[in-house]
Amino acid sequence: MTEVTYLEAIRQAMWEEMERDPRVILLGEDVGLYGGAFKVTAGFLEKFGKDRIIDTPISEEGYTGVAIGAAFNGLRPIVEFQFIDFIANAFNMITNFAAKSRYRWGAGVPIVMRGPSGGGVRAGPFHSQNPEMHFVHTPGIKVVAPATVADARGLMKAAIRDEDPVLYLEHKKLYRHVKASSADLESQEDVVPIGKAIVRRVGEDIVVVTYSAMLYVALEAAEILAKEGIELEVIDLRSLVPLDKELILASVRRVNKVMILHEDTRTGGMAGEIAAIVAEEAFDDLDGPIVRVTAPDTPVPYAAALEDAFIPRAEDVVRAARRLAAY
Amino acid sequence: MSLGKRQLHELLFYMILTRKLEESLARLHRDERLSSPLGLRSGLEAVSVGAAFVPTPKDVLASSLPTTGALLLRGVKPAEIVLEFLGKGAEPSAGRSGIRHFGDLGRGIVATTGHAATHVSVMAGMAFSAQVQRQDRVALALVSDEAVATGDFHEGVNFAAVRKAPLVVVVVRFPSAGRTGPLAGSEVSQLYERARGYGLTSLPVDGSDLLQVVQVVETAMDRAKTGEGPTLIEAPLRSSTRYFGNDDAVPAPFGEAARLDPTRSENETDVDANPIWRFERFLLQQDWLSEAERTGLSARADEAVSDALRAADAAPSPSALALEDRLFHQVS
Repeated sequence: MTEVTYLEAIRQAMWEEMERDPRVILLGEDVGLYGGAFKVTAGFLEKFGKDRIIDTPISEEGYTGVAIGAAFNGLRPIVEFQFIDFIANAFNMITNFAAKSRYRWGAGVPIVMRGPSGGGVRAGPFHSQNPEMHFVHTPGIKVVAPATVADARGLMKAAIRDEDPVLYLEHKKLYRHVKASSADLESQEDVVPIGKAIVRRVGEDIVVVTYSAMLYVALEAAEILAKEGIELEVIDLRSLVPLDKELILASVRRVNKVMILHEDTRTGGMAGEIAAIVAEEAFDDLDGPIVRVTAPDTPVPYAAALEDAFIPRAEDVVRAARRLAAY
Repeated sequence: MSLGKRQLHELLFYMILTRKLEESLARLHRDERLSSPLGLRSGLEAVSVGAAFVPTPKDVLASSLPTTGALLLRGVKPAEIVLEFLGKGAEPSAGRSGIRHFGDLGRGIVATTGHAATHVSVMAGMAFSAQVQRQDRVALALVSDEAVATGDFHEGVNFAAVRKAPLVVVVVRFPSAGRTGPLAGSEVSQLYERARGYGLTSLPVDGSDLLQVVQVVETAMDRAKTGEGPTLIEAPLRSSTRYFGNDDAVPAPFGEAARLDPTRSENETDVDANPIWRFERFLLQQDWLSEAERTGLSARADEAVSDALRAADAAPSPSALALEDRLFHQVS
């Protein structure tokens, strides 16, 4: 049986979409001749040619603008940021041009902006960040963060087919560590709709809402806690914008306690937003405080001991869950 | 490009209309019927009308300058311009963007943002995508000289240069006194020196001379269409007054429509610096324009402005119910 990695799923989805739709192009630094820093686009240049696979100068703002212009002219560009940290260089183009374009003058921007996010690979402060909230906070951009192989594939296909700008965050630690059998993959839906969360584990005591690589931390903690008689329900958001509020609230109303877990830093993070939604819309259903388990408000540190302390671990979830369960 | 008398008159008409329309907006602002910053400048008429005269409907244009003239040439009606200023614009802006950031892909106009050169790389993308799709389409970007100090300008122009994309960039150089810009912000004051750094051709033009602008932009667009790559055009102005709408008084030349009359100035230097007077003088000297025709064009512009103001008064403001509409694509 063939195993498909998370990275391979992203690669396959882009490849198949480029075969299906000649309007899809790919541009970024080293995506062509070199095949991408993580080899996600190896072989694309040979298959699709230099008019569709564009090696760009190091100029994130510039080539994001180029992608927007190409989208206006009928193409469907995928922009690769070699590390998602460098999306900061394109912030103006994304937030002021791509995000506002349809709203202010009716011109849709069907582009996918993708790149490796997240820490845990000892890459230090400029190759490990989780920049999602800059864009979650900007009306007009969809944001997805797949955790599984099937979602990596299905959400990429959905993103490419979407009529609006989609930020696709691929966690680099999952690239080669998360695998699925090709048979399993074939049994899944080809396209995963943007804006739909999923319950990965059913439980009756505490709902853990999470996304991306933290899904596995939540599931690991759930195994530990189950032995103590605490059953976690684990929701994988998959999309941050649009946010599947209905699914979150349905679980909260049934389980009555909620924890939000993410690798991003704490203040202004997704957890705060979800906590507010729960407090506003399901306050009467809560039997305990809304709990956040997140990275602290610091840059991502380089040293292993520091990075290990920065990224939430299963033991952090276990500790927080025990406290919450006691209410 | 060989221009007949009728086309020459139309070019003059659009320059006069540009000026009169902007003056009417300044008056609206002075009368507190319009509170948005205007960001208008006189002296740009030859560049905005001349540059926008050259592209065909297939080509695309974006400008971060006050480009009333260019928009008119792309088919935007005077009433639409006033409506946009008043926040009453119809689709595609629906009152959300304002004329300074107006866009309509159907008319080949790409919107800009509030910053000087964000559109340059977007237009490089337009040009690049036209190239790889084998479209006979050129992207024309207009920027002010302040824009050349930005990273956006550099990254966009450099990308177009690397790909030999059909992009034409017109950089308007404003008179230097009392302002920032290349003369104050860069050791390189001549654009051709910068163009050399990108491996590009640079063409100079007198930004106050309409026919020169038409000719040079046409040359650049021909180069683009024949695969010779992008061109930077440097268009210095001899005189320009800006009116941002934050001042108490409306300064000349915006305050006085009479300033349009070339007979009011005996000074040849003044006439040379004013694109409208200069073109009128040229046409009069060539006997391609009579006094009666000139008066007729001016009256036609007055009428167009009056019609635009009446239409704008009558138009409704957008409904607040639409505030959250059209953020994302809606499947109908």
